[in-house]
Amino acid sequence: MSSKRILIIDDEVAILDALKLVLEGRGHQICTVSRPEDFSSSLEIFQPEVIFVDLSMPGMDGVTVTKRIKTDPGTRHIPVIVISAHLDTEQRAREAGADDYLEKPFRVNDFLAKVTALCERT
Amino acid sequence: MKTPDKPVNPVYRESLQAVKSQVFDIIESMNDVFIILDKNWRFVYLNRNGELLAGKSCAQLVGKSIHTLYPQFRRTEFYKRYKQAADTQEATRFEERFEGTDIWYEVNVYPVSSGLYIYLTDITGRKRNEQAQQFLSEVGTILSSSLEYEKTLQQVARQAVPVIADWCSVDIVNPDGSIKHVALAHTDQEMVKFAEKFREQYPPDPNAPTGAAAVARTGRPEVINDIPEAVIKKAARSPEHYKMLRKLQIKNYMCVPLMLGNHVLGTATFVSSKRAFDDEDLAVANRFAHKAALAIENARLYRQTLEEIAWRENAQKQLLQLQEELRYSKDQLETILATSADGITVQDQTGRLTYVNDAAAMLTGFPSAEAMQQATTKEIMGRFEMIDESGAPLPLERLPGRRALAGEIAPEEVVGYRIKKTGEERWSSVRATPLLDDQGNVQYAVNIFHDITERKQLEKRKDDFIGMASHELKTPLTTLKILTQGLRDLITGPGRKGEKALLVRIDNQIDRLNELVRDLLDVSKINTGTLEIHPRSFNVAASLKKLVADFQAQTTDHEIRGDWPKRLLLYADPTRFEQVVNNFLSNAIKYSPRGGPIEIRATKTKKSVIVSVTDRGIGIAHENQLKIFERFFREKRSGQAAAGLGMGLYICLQIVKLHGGRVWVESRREEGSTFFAEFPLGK
Repeated sequence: MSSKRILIIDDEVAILDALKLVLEGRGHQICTVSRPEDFSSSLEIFQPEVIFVDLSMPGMDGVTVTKRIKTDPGTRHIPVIVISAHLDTEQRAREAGADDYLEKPFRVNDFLAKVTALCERT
Repeated sequence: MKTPDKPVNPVYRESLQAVKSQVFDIIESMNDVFIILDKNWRFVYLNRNGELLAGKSCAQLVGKSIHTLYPQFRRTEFYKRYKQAADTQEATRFEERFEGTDIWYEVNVYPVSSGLYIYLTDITGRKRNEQAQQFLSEVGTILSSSLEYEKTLQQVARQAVPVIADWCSVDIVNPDGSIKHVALAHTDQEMVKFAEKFREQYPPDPNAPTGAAAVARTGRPEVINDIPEAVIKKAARSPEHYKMLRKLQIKNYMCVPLMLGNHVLGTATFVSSKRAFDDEDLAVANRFAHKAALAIENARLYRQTLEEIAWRENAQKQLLQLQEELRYSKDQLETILATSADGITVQDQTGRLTYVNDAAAMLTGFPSAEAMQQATTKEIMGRFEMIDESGAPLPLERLPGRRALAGEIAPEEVVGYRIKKTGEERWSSVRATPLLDDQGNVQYAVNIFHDITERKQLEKRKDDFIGMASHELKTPLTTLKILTQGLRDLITGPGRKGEKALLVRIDNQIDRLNELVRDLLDVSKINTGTLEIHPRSFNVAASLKKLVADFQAQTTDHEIRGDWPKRLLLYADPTRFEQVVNNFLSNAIKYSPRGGPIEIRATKTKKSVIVSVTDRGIGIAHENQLKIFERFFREKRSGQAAAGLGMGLYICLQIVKLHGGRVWVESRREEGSTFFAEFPLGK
């Protein structure tokens, strides 16, 4: 699998750090955002190929973030995968307009499989 | 004074002679005793009866002094009176009896110049009558003086001797038929003592053909005079007995029943050693018996009345006491009901409230118990919306009060209600009991509302907490999983088998933890009624294939085989479906520790899809086959602590239930088990 540029938006720093560590170990480029308010600047600077958004965040809610990304003409082409610990993730994903969803806890390989699937599509 | 000499007419002399002769005849033959005594107390003349009385002829007695013949005469009342008449030269009349006899005489003494003319008239009969009347009158007085007839009967018995007889005894028949000896009299007190001792030693035979017992039985009086020695000898039970009998001197015997109407109350017995009892005696005895019977009856009636009065007073007292206790109980009850924190209401057959306590009014938002009691059923029901424990609206028929009125014995329901007026939401555990009337029909229902709002709120907070905590746990778990995989990435190349193996096991444990946390979360959702399913159409075959692969990777002791149609569409929540089958598979592996085959099957019926998992393990005991689906059930097995939280099958049940399906198990100890889940086909 070729190296990908992945943006991960999640308020849980522990997960962000772990993901960054492991994924960079596999050769990918990772940008993490723990404060959803900061995501738009990171988006501009980093230019990700795929974005992961956690739905269960306090403050700015993941659904809002997703909708913003998908409505902004400059960013809506980027595949968005929503992550959640809730079992109704799928439904919320659709409502938000995400391209796919992933349930916590997930396997790193599943995570990457989704990345591949979506990137290959585009 | 000298009488003038007159020539005596021979005719006159003859008639005088004739008259003298007649007079002499009369005197001779009259009933009275006629005696002439001279001034020196010598007999001058006795008539025939006089001779009989003296026992000697006139010739023998004439010229002899009465003192010489009867030395005791000087001491008698007779002599006193004769002397008095002689001295005063006045005629005297008196009544006296010769000592040692029962014969009474009226004595008329006429003093004449030459001495005394004495007439003795036998008045025994009259005297006896007088004595009898006197006796009966005294009996009457004594018996009416007191109601203690045992005492008075003893007194009258004493009155009867020696007037009526030598011995008098009275017996009473008790209401139960036994004989009670109440009186015994004899002029000689020693004889009484002797007789009592005799009676003790030889108690009378109650079945004897004669005697007081017989009289009591038959109600007929008995008179036996002049009892021959031979009879007494025959009646004696022993020589000693005979000796004692003889001492009692039972020569003449009379026994009369004390009767009132046809009822024998007792007997009176009279015994005389000298005199035989005649009809007059019997008549006196009967009148005596009658008075005694009346006295006894009166006394008994009086005593009965007293007893009745006492009983009635006692009953009255008890009644008052009972009323007092009842009043007290009622007060207590009212206090309990009034101060009870539980709401208590009583409904009649129509459902109307006949009693409401303060707590009930407060719990349902009424300003007072009176207000609630006066409200109609419609008004009351209109005040709130009710739900059951699962959150669904509660139909009125399920209210325990209604069910109790319909005859259910102890209906119970947890009711959640929102008071529309205030918006307040409360929970109550409601229990109802039917009250039956004498025929066993339901008359009332008693409802008890136990407010459990706080408990419910606490439960909700707990469940909310568990939900939140489980959610929080997922973050570190997710991190762990990611990091573990990162570690696996770093351990590459041959020769690191040990480390790789360890990491696999760590990863498995993380997965285990995840499952536990997920179960916790699911249960808290089930409790708060927030467990959701998101059904869509999916291919069962694909899910099962994935599960089999995952599981087989975890065990080498078990061979997991599958049998299902290649394409089997089901409208259900796929994640939850997999959760159920996953659970069944975990159980299969857990319950066949020695390994063996595990079969998964899926079949389609007309209306549903049935999935089953079969193992050949230790099986489940029959009594547990329903319990294993209960919330906290873990099978007790020696040595092995049950793994997991015990929630798995409970969650399966809830998930399948939410789909409208059902779960069950078929199992035999030591042979294995098959778990079934049936999902309706849906759309």
